[in-house]
Amino acid sequence: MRNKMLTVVGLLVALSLALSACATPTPEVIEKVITKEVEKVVTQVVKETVKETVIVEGTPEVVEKEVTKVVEKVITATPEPVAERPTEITIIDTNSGANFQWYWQQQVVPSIEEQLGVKVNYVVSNEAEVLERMKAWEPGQGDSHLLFVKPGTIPKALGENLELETLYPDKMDVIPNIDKCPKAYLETVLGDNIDGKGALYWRSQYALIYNSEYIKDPPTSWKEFYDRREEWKGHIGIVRPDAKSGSSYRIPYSFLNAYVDMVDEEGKAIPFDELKETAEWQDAWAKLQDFYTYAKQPLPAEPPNMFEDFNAGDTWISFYAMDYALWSRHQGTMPPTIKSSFLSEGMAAGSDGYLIVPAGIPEEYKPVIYDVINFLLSDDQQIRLITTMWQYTGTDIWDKVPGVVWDTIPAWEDMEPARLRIGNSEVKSYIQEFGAEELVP
Amino acid sequence: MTLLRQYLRAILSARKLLITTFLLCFGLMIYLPFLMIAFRSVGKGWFGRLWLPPELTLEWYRWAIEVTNIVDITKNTLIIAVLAVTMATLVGIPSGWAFGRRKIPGKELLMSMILLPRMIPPIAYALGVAQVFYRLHLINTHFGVALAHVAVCAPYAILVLSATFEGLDERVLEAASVCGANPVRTFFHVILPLILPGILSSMIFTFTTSYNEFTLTLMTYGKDTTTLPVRTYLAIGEGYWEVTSAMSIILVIPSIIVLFMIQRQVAPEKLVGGFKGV
Amino acid sequence: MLKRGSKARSTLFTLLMLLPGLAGFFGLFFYPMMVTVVRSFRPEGELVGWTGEHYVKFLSEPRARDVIVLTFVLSISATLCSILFSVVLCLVLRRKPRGHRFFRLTMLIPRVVPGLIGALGLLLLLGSRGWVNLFLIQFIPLVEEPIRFNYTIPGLILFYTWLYFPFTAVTTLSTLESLDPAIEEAADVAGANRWQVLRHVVIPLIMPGILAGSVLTFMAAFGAFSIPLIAGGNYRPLSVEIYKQINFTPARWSAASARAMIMAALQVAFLTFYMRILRRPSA
Repeated sequence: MRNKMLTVVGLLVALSLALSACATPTPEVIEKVITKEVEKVVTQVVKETVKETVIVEGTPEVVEKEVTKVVEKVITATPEPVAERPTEITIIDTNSGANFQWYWQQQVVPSIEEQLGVKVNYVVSNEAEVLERMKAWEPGQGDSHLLFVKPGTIPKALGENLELETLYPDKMDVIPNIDKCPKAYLETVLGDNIDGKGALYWRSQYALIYNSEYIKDPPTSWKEFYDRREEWKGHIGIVRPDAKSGSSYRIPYSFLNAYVDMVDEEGKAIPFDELKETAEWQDAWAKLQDFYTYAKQPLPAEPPNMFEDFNAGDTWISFYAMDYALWSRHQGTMPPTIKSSFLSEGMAAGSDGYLIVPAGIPEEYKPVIYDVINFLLSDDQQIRLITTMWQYTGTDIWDKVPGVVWDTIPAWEDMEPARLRIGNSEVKSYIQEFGAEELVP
Repeated sequence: MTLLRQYLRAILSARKLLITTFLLCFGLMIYLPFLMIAFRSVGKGWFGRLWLPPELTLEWYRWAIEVTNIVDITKNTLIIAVLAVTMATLVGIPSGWAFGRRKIPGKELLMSMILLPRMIPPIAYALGVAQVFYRLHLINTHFGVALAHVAVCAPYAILVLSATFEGLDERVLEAASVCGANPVRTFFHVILPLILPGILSSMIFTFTTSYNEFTLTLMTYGKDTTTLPVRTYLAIGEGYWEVTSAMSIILVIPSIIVLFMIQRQVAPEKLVGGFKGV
Repeated sequence: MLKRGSKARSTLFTLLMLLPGLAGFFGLFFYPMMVTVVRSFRPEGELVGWTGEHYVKFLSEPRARDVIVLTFVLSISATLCSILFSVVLCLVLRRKPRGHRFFRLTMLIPRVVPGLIGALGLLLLLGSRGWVNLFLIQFIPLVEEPIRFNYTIPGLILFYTWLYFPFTAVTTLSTLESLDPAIEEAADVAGANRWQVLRHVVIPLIMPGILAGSVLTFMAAFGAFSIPLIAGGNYRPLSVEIYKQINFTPARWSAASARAMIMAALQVAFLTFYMRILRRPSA
């Protein structure tokens, strides 16, 4: 009798748990309180002393000067209690590789703390996780104040109805340096509109990476690379098309670009359904499939695996972010004989770095964040980016960059014509979703 | 006769050689991977086909400490492990007592049930745990991750503690009460010393389990609660393997030390989770 | 009267003591499992409505069959290798050769460290410039090129075996050591040589121990997650498939749940089948 009762009780408990698992969560009622403050406004002219860092012409030196500016300040008649300006913020980085994680931690974060007095909690994460967490935020309670992301994250976030602050041109008054960013990069990424919601922090460039110990005369174009593939059979490094890294699609996209146009004359993407019917596409795709069979097998799942192959001397030639390769060589994690060079038809832009501000963070953090963004786009910080990490700056300040940099990396004017911004996002998605089936031998 | 004896001796000595070779290979297979990681973590310029790195350096450890925040991450791992051990022990003691000292109908069935979370691969129910935790806002909290760990730690605790309590001889307790000890004194002077080794061993095993737990942490962690196993996984996927090796050594050394330290006190075989009844 | 009251109180007390354990079980395992089950039948991204599309879509893909076959191949091979290796190891250790205590501890190392680290170490050791290949190239004249171990099926089976053989080894050893030596002596006296004793007496007697441990090895290998994640290369078993679904943006929870359910079902089915074989009285 007792056994029976226990069994029944147990079943009931199980059943109730199962049913509650089916229950839909009751929608939360969130009360939004909107207060409108009406205040009398008075304009006053005030003298303000501002500290500015000025680059002394011709040298990479940085000089700090105190400059007195005359500004018009709007003073409210009834000063409302202003929430204390936060002095600690969280920056989430989903873009930087190992090299830049070092740079952020060791160089950027201390600079922000020193020069802006803002303590930074710097966290490395990945895109999927950050977007998932953002969706779970309570309104106005977001805890990730500034996000440093890959280009593709912005359209994804917008597609998930996650609101981002529009930085350009809305916030130009608090982020004046954003005006120095190339407008095309502020308007679109990867073929999608972003309407100024991201500030461009750096521009990354892919290039041919090869080990000069094994290869004395690298190819100078994709077509040459393909035609001479037999020379390097089994020693070409190509990351899997379904890897997390952007190299998964940048390598095949750049290859295809050499054989078929994926955008029209105005730069708009050709619809994929049209594109794949054309003879050029089918020829290019067939060549691509063939090319993959000449790679070192098995295809590395992620770039670190590919760099292991480089270090072992199994892979001699590949196509990857130039800044990473050069800096790794400098650090001693890649052989000293590593070099980079051009492929003439076009080399994919790397993961350009964008700074974005979620709308869902507490309002009092936003002014601080805008200051930080402005600081990161300042000439001083941007120049440090290129002199320390060999990464192209987000702002167009080429005349201010010390000349010694151009001994190691190609001048922007020379690089830019070959720089290939991914214009057709359908092709990119196709590679990422179906590449594993179609391209992996 | 001498020939036969010689022949036998040859076989016997060959046997010994075979055994030694076998054990040697076994030992190498187990320890060489760690040695390799260790060398990778201090090597510089180790390119091409070299047995050993040409230079030694500690910079990867410095990198791990400065750049990957390993100190904070270790702190997280330890906090979560301590929380998990506490909760698992609090769950284990009463359950172990009940299983060990009381007749429970269907005890074997219940025990098998309790051990299900260790049998079913964590990835299967970690999904559910993640979804439930999202709703309860337990993601990215130390308590939340520790709670998820309890799912795999508690079964061990219950197992070990039920064996401990089972081993408590009734007669010792009777003898204590005959000698005039009241329940409180009996508890502190008789029961506690007897069950302390069992509690200790269960705490050590649950600590190791939580410290090394990866799958459940991966589903419930956040930027403030990254643990060493998760950080190592992230580093393998995108970092310099020299730094990853340094992180791995930092992660692994405590476990191995603990294993060698406790091998005299407790039977480490229990760690592997053999259980009766299957 | 008094006795009955105290008996009821005792039962209540027992129940109370079991409560934390049962609560933990239900709350942290059973309920999440139910949530996963329910989620697997929901349309993607929704919290209402029922559909079986995730199961249908996955099982109708030709790739699904490959994934399931791969998972089984890896687990079963790893289990067989573990059994083979454990039996030999335990027979050797039984005689307590010199340093046997050290090797008994060594047996446990793969379980004490996180699987990721073991996998990383093996990847480095068996890589094309790892010590194993360097040794083979230098000392074995037939080997010219480094042999590819990593990211191959045999390599993966080796990884799995390395990680999960302790389960089998521990139970085999304990069963072996609890064998009454009198039985072996009797067989020896009856005229059987070493091999016959082994084959006809020892092995059948320790079979239950071997099988008990191999069940654990199989379960662990079937559900192995961190290892194929980093060392699987082109081979993605079921556990990695589940994780991949969550890594899309937006995360595909329902698809992942369906795959997780399929995996759990397969595992439970296999386990039941296995246990039934165990329970069968030996001839």
